[in-house]
Amino acid sequence: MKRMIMIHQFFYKDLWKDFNLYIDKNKFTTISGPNNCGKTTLMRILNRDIITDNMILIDEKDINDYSIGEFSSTVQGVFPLEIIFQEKTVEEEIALYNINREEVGEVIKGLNISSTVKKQVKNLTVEEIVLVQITLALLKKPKIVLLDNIHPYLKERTKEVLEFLKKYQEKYELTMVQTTIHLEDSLPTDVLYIFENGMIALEGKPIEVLENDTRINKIGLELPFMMDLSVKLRDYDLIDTIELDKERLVDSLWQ
Amino acid sequence: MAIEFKSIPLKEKKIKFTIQLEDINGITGNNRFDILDFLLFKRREGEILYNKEKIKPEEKKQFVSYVEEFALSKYFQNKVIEAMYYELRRKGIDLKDPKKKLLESLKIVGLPSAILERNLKFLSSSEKALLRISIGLLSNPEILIIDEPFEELDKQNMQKVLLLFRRMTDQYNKTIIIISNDMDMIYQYTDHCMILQENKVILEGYTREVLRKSEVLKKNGIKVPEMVEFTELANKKEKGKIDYHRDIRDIIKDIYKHV
Repeated sequence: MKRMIMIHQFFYKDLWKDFNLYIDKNKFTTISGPNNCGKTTLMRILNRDIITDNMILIDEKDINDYSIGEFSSTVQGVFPLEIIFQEKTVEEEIALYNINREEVGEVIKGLNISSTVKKQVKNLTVEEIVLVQITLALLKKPKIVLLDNIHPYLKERTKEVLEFLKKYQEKYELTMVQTTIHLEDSLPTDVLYIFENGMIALEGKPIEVLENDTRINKIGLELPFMMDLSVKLRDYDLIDTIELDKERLVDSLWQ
Repeated sequence: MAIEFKSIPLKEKKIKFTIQLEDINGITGNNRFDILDFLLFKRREGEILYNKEKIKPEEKKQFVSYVEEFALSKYFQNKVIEAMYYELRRKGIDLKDPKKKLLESLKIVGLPSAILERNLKFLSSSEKALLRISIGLLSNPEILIIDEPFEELDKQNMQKVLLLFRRMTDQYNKTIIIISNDMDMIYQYTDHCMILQENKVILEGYTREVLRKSEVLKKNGIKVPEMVEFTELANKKEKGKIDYHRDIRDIIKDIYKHV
């Protein structure tokens, strides 16, 4: 598996000492961890908002060796609400990024924002601004998309947006990296890393990582309710396998 | 101890509802923001009884503080101290020594004074969340209304904020109103709650009792809290032997007893 992002022997302030992280190409990776574990700082570093003299390879090239234009067509970061629109309407703003009707249409349909497109940017809701930010990032056709804690802004739409992003990432063979404190947001993705005290505490397929309930609770994260319940019931020998469906769990408890 | 709001216009209807003083109240549903101006005592329609005494909204206006969920996002290019001053001005809060007050309110939520000189863009999510609460406390309000206070907090910080809210209600007789669409959080952490959906008060009262009414919730398109939904399914099998708990460990103890 080719690595798209390689962070090797990384040192940064008190956060990381000799830290290593390798993110696979064409995968949707989730980074989670307790508050102040460095999730957003890492995204800022990968987006070159914070420059360090550490060796970070992006698509096998040192992050500091990219020209500005080359970097923006390789990495697009979405940091919620951090955008200064240049045009008056969303439609005009989108045209600055991509004018291919088919490509634009696909993203607008996928993110379900056709009613937002005609709006003036000053009239957008918080949720719409973030959806437009995601749209613009995808339409730049980068190799890597960074999504920093987008979920609180999307509210009830989080699940459908993540599902679309997963499909889009697979179709266009993108490398996507998202940060979140809510572990259920990792379930549609391929890989989950949980950071703690400058180290990777847990890593692997999300559903498998989430089975480490005691460790996750100790780290200070909350498991999705059904996962937490199911893992604990299994540990008490009340059920044999993890079951995330409530009805099936009840059936297996009182069969 | 309560504030009763009567004949309050909501779209084309009139509604009434109650906020319990000195407790943690939760407001949810798709109209949850539509009564905000009444809670902030900005509108004069309807009737307001404060501990059964009729009041004019303007009498209480300065005793309430509201913190929006993304209040600080628009200042992402500014230093924290600048953002806090902008917020003070925007809300019309006039303080004799604002810097002293800023430092006091930062201390209450456990943030260091050095944060004032940092750029908002580079604060962590939890720092932003705690900063929002500290801004809400600047005017020393009797009632603090806050959108999604726990959204970006891990367990430890969430417990810290919950303890702060409890201290405010129990020791300082303050009232907390949490506005949220997170039914599981409302179920687990509020004392009273109200659901405003499709221009109606669907349910209001003690959270533990109100949010067990899953049929009413489902009928009105409201998500049933996960713990309630599971307990209900379990009770269909176990004929009401599993209690409605708000802590997963208690649910497991009950299951252990009855399986």
